[in-house]
Amino acid sequence: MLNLDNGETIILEVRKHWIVLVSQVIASILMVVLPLVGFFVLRSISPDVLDLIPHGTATFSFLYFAWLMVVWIVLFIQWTNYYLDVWYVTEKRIIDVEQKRAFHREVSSIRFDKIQDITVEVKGVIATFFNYGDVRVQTASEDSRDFSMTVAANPERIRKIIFSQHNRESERTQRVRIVDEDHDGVPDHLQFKGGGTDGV
Amino acid sequence: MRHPSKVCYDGRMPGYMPDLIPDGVSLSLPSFKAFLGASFVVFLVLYIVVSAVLVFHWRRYGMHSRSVALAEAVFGIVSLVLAGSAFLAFSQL
Repeated sequence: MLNLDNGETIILEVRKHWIVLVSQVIASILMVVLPLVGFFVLRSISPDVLDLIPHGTATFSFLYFAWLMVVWIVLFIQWTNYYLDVWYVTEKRIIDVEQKRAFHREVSSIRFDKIQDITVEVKGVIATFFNYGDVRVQTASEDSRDFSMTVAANPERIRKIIFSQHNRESERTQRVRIVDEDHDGVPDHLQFKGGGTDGV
Repeated sequence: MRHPSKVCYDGRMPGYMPDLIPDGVSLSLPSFKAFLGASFVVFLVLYIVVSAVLVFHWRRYGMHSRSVALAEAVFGIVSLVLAGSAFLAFSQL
């Protein structure tokens, strides 16, 4: 649920690189595989161990499927946290959305004319190879905080798009209203209103 | 003289297994199954609540994207399969 102005559209969605999910997926795979491995190892060492509990194999299967459901939902909680942390770049501004926890969401926005600098940092072989890095948008205002995203996907493209939007905003001509209250054909702001000697 | 390995600590005949379960306590299958069933029901309720929270966030903040729609479908289908498999295993008890 994003409140965009009339005619405002999203040009770019910026998220972290998919590599941040890799460690979580690997952990999930380990949590799925290890109980199975443990079960078969235990059965090979001591085949009678499952006889200690009624219908040992069926009980283990039941508990294992319940465990898989836990792993599955934890994985999707992590994915949701990843997916809902996003920058939306529109024609007018950047909207920074951060999902901190369930039912705790922080949304900030900054207009392009308030942007002072954009810094991109790509550090290391893996970051270079997979094309991810840190992007920081510095603002001119002391009241608003800088926007930053670590492990952002395709950081150079992000910088390019934000920079071009910033330049477009800066170069846009503004309409000026000329005031001439005494109707003498000379705009008021060009009239000399002082009473002193010329040239002094 | 008895072989040392054939002498149990309490002096009873070899092959005797001391009682692991105290007298009066029964680990019969019906009570075990009932306990597992009740636990599974509680677990399912919690699972449904957390799933509802996830779906709420996807619908509200997901901007109706295709990724979110795909995630919802995959999550729902696999959850149903896993829950069905758990229930099937439970019915084998």
